[in-house]
Amino acid sequence: MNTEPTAKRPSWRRVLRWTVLIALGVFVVVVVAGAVWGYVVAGQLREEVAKIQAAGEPLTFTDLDADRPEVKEGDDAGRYYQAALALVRHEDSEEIWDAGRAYRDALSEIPTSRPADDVVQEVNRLLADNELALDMLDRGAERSGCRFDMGIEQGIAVCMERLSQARRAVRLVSLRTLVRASKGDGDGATDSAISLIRMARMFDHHPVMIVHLVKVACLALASQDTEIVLERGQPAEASLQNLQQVLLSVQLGEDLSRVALAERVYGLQLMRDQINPSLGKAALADQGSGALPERWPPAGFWNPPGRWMAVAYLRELAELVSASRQPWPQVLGAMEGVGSESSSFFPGQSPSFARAAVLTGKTMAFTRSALVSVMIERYRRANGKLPDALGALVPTYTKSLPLDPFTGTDLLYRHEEQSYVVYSVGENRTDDQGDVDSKEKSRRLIDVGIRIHLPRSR
Amino acid sequence: MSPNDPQIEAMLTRYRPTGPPANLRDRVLRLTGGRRSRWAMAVGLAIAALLVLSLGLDLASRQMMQETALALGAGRIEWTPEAEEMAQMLNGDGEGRRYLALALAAGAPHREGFPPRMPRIDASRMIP
Repeated sequence: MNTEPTAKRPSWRRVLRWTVLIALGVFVVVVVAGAVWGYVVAGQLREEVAKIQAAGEPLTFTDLDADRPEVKEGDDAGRYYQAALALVRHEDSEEIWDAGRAYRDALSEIPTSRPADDVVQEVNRLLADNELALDMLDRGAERSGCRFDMGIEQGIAVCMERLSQARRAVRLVSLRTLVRASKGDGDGATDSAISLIRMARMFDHHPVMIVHLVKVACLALASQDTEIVLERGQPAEASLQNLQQVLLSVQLGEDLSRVALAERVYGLQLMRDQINPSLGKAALADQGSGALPERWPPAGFWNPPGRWMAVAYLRELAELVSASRQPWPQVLGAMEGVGSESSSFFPGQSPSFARAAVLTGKTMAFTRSALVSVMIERYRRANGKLPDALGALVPTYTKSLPLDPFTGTDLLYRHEEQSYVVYSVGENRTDDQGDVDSKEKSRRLIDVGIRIHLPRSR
Repeated sequence: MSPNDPQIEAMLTRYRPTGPPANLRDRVLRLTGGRRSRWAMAVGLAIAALLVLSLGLDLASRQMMQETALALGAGRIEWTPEAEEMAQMLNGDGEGRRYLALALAAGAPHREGFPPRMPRIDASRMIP
């Protein structure tokens, strides 16, 4: 009988065998889980896109343009704005900004002072160098329609370049307004302020969030300029009427819904380009173009995690679109909580939608206060005194008074011996007694509006 | 050798062990080896099935992504006679056609990262 004990396998072979088996198991689990996850989220993504389609909302920039009114070529300010941006000298934008601030500070002081001579010289040089561009902007302001394209469809780099030039142009026009007002050229200053307000139409075509925020800044600047024009310019009644008409045409509140739709279309465009295999890296490499430019989302985006992020993004944007359709001031509450960083398609890059809504509300309050101030100025000139209440402006100067976007009620009005103030309660929804000037407090905590110092106080 | 050795030797000669049946080894090995191979085969088949399922799901999800891309306006290339004429102007070879296809597929030929390097244009084709 064979009684020899069976030889045991060496332990390293058993370890190797189990390692291979476990690795194989993990590999299979990962592959299967990835495929299942990818399938599920691809279905969810398709469903989200179908929902947008079913709701009749835009999926492409072409869809987004569908509801825009046709603009005849001769009525299009876009061509002039395009020429103006090409003509704006590539000055340091901060330089223009600093000059404008120096002017504004000097003109806002009570009693008013003149800016320093070197600032005046620098500003004159800037305006002379950009005379042609300013002329184009004025010509554009006279046109009834505007189809200026900020270029977001061609990518964020192109858009940022145009936005940067547009900001320079905005500051230059604002600077010209201040210079004219400081010289007592009220009508010229008013025309310049009107040009600036009309320029805001540049940002209406494909208004993604970043474009909208620049528009908001442009209109806020125009409202500040209106304050200086009314105080220092002494424009004629006809100029004031024109200014009132132009301020009345500013419809910033309705923009939010379009901004939300445009923002989503931009995201969808990025997704489309990532999905479309004919735009793949290999195809471009074949053309000898080298590496693709850096873009978000990164390569490999359409792996399951990328699809999952895209689904989360579209769900977030669906909430945003829904919230943005609320009337003011309910829209402010509705926008809160939308755009949390955790689910954002562009983590850390997208501005807070709630914050953007507040900024929009503040600028609405600002432009509406400017509008009411113009009416008050017309009333004061006609009657030799300030109105006791804003109701006195109706119906001679307006059919109805603009509302405070933060409360949905009338704007507030206070007048004193030497000044009056038209204001909104602002973000804190509290009447801070018309404190629109306080520099010490947080800007979030004070009222938003315009204070006009009467001529005898300057 | 002790005195009993012849007896022992005689006994051993009489009781020599014959060992197990010759086919026992094969029977035992076949039994255990068969179990192992069936188990391995089942696991292998399961893995293969899962991998095939994964492949199917991946293909299905790619198809869904393509449909999504189409819904978003991608890939709607209309190869019109004008496009063909333009492709001919761009040398008419694969490079020119591919360039034009990319431009049309992109929807906007100057999209970020576009156009890819322009193919050399044969001026003689453009001058009648």
